[in-house]
Amino acid sequence: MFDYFLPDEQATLTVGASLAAAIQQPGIVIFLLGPLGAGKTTFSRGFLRGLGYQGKVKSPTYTLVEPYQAGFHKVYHFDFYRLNDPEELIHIGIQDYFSSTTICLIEWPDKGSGFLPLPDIICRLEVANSGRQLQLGPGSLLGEGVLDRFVALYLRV
Amino acid sequence: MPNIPLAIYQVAQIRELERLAQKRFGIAADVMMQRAGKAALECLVRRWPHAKSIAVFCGKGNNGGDGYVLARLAAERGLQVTVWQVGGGGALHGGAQQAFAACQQANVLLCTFNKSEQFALVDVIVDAMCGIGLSGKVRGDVLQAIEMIEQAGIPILAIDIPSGIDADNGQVLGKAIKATQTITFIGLKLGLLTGRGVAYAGEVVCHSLQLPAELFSQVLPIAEKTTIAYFGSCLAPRPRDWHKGQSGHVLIIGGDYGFQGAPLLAAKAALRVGAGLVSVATRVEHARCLNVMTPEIMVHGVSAAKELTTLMDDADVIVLGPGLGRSAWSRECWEVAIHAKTPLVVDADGLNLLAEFPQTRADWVLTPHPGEAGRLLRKTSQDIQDDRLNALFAMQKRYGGFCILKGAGSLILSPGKIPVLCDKGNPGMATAGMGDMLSGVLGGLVAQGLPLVNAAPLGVYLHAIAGDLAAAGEERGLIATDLLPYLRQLSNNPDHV
Repeated sequence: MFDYFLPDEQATLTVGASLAAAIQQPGIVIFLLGPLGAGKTTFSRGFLRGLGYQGKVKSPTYTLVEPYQAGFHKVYHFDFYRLNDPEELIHIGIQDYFSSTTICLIEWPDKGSGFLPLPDIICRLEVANSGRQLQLGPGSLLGEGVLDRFVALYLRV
Repeated sequence: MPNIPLAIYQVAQIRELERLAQKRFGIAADVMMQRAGKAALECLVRRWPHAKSIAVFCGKGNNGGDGYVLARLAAERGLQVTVWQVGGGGALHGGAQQAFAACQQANVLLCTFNKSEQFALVDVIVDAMCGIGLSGKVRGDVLQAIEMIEQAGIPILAIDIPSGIDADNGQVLGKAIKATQTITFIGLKLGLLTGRGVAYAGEVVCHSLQLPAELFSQVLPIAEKTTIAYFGSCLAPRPRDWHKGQSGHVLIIGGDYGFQGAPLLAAKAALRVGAGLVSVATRVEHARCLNVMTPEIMVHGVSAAKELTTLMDDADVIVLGPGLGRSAWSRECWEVAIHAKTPLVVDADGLNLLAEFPQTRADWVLTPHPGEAGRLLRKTSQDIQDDRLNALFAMQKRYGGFCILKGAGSLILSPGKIPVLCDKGNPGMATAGMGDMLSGVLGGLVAQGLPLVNAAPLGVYLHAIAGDLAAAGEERGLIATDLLPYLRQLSNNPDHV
């Protein structure tokens, strides 16, 4: 479990990019936890940049999901904040998004509870002292390996 | 993509690597020092991006030299830097002198450490006092500096190793720095990953100082860190026509009066990692109750030890010891079981009885915690903790087979291999029944046909990570059975490596 203070938006982008760069193979599910305005979408933007995506990254709050082709990777960025009932996910064919060839970032995963796979990485962001406090932890063996590489990249060792 | 370093060294090998780097590859000591200082600063700036003011504590040797390099580079970057020199009078050694002179030229604020000085207003403290060359207890102004730094309650970056920690075994030499983050160079040091060093190192990252890979192939590490990458193929998905006979049969022997839960925990763990059949041989009085509690387990009440022989004939592996006790019944069961034709996992009172009646076997896994290891080696558990690596070798020499020394930084030794260290797991796992879970995991893996050489490190690794997942940052209050769902999840995630 990593617990880092991120003083500004740039730091959040950097940490997102480092996490992305640590991913060696797709088939990854990342849960993004934290209140509104904690920087989850900023983190996702950094993450997509880290995979080589240069275009615009917008919040999927109204669309539920935004697809991206980032480098070699197919990335889905979900936001379930506006979901009323997890069962609505069946109608968007949620299971089809999770495969060994995709990377999924999920904001507000608790609102989709019961229809989501277990996370490989759990990322929690909170507002703290004019910056953000980030906690990153693994949820699977795959996530464990990604985080080992992440810390090496992030701390530039 | 960074290569996650897995090799673990003691000071002697690090010195040899440094010597070879200079002699064979022409990488001068001061070049390594420049690289170390630069890498440490990069790490600091990323780890604490808000840091504007830092205090760097420098000793007289090469570790201090790394600190001086960091201090100069930090000042050039616009950070407010104060260097505190410790280690008494006398000249700086070799490369440290140059790095010090460069600091002077760059007008870095250099002060001799003084107990009355205040440094509490900095954002990060850098510890470059002792390094890996420390021998004997810390004393004088180093000791004072460690005490003052501890009271300051400021994040600490330790360079190479926290001052006061013995790099060879993790012992605290009088008093030591409790680092938030340690950046270690060339290779991982055993002292950061075992013994009390674990509690002082904080998060550990390793920087190779860009030494060539060829160099590393010339020095054998003292141990190796486990990663799941070793075991990917051990837990391959099962073909659809699989049947329970192929998943193997674990027999757990234990559960004397007062300990009826222990074999149950081991049995559940064995099932959750995929054993096909699990039997428990226990006190007659416990059998019915256990059967009702967990119908998946076949429980046999054993009144006379000879009843074990038929049960043992059906098993692929025997877990001997969970709650076995030390009564006459325990002893008889133990005596019969250690002559089993199948491999054995020996834990808890199984080990205590082994300490009383020493013998050797090639196909058993012994899983002592430091207390049991102490009994096996006629030493105190403190002796074991002070030098875990040698305790591991001594146990294998005396008792044969495979040995797992539990505790923070569990060590696993297989015959003819270098020791393997597991740096996963957490203090929440220091609770009753956690060891029973491990013995069950090991039994479950061996039953599925894994060779002991794979099952021993994999079992420790799965158990530790299940503990981390179950704790999820809330270690206090973790109980053994919390691990069960995660053991199952991990055992089915082999493609996830």
